[in-house]
Amino acid sequence: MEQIAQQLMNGLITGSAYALMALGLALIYGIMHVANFALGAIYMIGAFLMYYFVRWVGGGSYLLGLPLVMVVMACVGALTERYAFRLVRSAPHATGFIVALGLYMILEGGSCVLFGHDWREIASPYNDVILNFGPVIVTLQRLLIFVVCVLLAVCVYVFIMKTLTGKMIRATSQNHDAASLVGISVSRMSLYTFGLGSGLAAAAGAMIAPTFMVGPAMGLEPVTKAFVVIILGGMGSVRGAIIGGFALGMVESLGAAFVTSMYKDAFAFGILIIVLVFKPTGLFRR
Amino acid sequence: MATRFTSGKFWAYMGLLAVLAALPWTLKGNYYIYLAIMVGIYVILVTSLNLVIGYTGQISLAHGAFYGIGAYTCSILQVRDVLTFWPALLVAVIFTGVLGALVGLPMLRARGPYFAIGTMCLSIITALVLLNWQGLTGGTSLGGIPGPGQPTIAGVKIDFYSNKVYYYLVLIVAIFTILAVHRIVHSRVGRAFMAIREEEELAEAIGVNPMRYKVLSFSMGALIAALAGGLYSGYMGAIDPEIASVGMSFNLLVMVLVGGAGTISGAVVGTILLWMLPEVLQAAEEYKPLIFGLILLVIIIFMPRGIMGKVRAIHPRIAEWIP
Repeated sequence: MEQIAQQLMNGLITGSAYALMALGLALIYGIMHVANFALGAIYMIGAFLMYYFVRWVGGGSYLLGLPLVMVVMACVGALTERYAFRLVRSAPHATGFIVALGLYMILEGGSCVLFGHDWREIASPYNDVILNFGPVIVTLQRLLIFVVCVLLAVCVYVFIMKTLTGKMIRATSQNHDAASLVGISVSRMSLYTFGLGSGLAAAAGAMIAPTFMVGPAMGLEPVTKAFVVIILGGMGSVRGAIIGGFALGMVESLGAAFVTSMYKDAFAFGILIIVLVFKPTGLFRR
Repeated sequence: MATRFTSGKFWAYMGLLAVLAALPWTLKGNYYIYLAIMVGIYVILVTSLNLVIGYTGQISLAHGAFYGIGAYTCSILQVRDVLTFWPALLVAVIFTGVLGALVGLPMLRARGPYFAIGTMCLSIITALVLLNWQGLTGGTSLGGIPGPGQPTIAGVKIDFYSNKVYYYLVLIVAIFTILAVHRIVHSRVGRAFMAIREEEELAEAIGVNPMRYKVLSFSMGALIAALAGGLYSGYMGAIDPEIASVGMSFNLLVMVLVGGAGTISGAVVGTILLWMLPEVLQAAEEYKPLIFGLILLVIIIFMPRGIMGKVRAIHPRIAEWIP
């Protein structure tokens, strides 16, 4: 029983990062129908920026680095939209996916050259603070991951649902032509969405990084899992992405504890393949 | 036949063949013959992936997995003394082809990004299984693969340990692969593939069963990938799970798209270009993904049909000479 509670807690924490990443992917897919694989690299670079921030400024200001990392990576994401994805907007959907793959290879390859292959650690001061909630033990850093990710997800949800810009983004994702007709700039909405999605992915990377190691190869697995989440949760569905992210986190940590830890990373992909076999268009088609 | 021997095109191809046959004698040092052999193996791989991506329009990221499964099947059968190289290669090819059909049957129901990401997950799982099933695969690396060895055929000893001899083996297989794929895409089956690529619903409306042809294409791709995998394992003598990784599938995809998806020459040009460029630039191994990504991005934005797609579009005469 205690172990189940502990594993559920772990699942919630990793799940919150998946949810954030999936949210970014889902927003971008919703508006431009691009499966933006490059978010994996954005996540990784977000973690690297945090690493250098902590090294230069000091671990005490760890949380101050987060908005900085998010803003920088949101700008990078907006740049990828402006100078890559926008150029192929009228091409078939597959082209967008290939552009995203190319960007991923450039960003990951560039990071290998720039930062080297070594795995590093981020010395977050919150790693050493251990909290006890009855039988469940959690470090402050891991609790922070959960709190920050949930806060960000809630903020984005409210932004998309309640604000004018959010409504404009939703209108654009429903129909480009109709949105243009009522005076919404599709290009600008697309720019915002890529920026927002990239900022979220970078935040996930920067928050998760202190509990793992930081290295150029760290982005592939989370972005693939986030894809699994949005395919399960319905491509482009904001709510599906958030719920699916948490669900995947739970399944993984329970599976690792009670089935096999060797194939922990294969669960998500196995689930996806099984789902595609029975529902080739995902569980919740919009 | 008379027309064939008088056509300029025929002699141009014969000239090309002569150049390829003379190649190992002009290359200085084993490293360049090694490169030529690797390019040959990749031409086989990329040509087969072109069948799936370029002609049938299914963006598969599982090709590296089939390459790896082929290499491992062929090698394990030899290392365990079950079979010698050639029968093991045959078993590996058939096994992987059947596996391709079995995997393709459910996976090909998914389309577009769903299929791409589904096949990517297959690659990840394959690499994980190859790494973790140590009893079967030897974990991080499998060595001591005998390969084709030094058989004596009709009193002549053929030394496959020699780089030059292995080069000719790979060259012959690559040429046969290209000819076979060329035949397939110019047949009724190939036209069905292309109809599915252009518009699946329309293809179905005119009586093409999309699932049947998609599975056929995917399975043929897997089968040829296994052939390349077997040749690779026989040449290297040792393999590791890295050959089945997602990165491998990415690289193959880049080669298909840069060369020109849906053109026979594109697969060859893309492979040669992306093998030679890091060599010419004297780039270290770690610059490779960066170079590949940059080329992919530039080509896909400015030449969506790839280099040979562009070249062939210049003049119909060129398209007639270069397939």
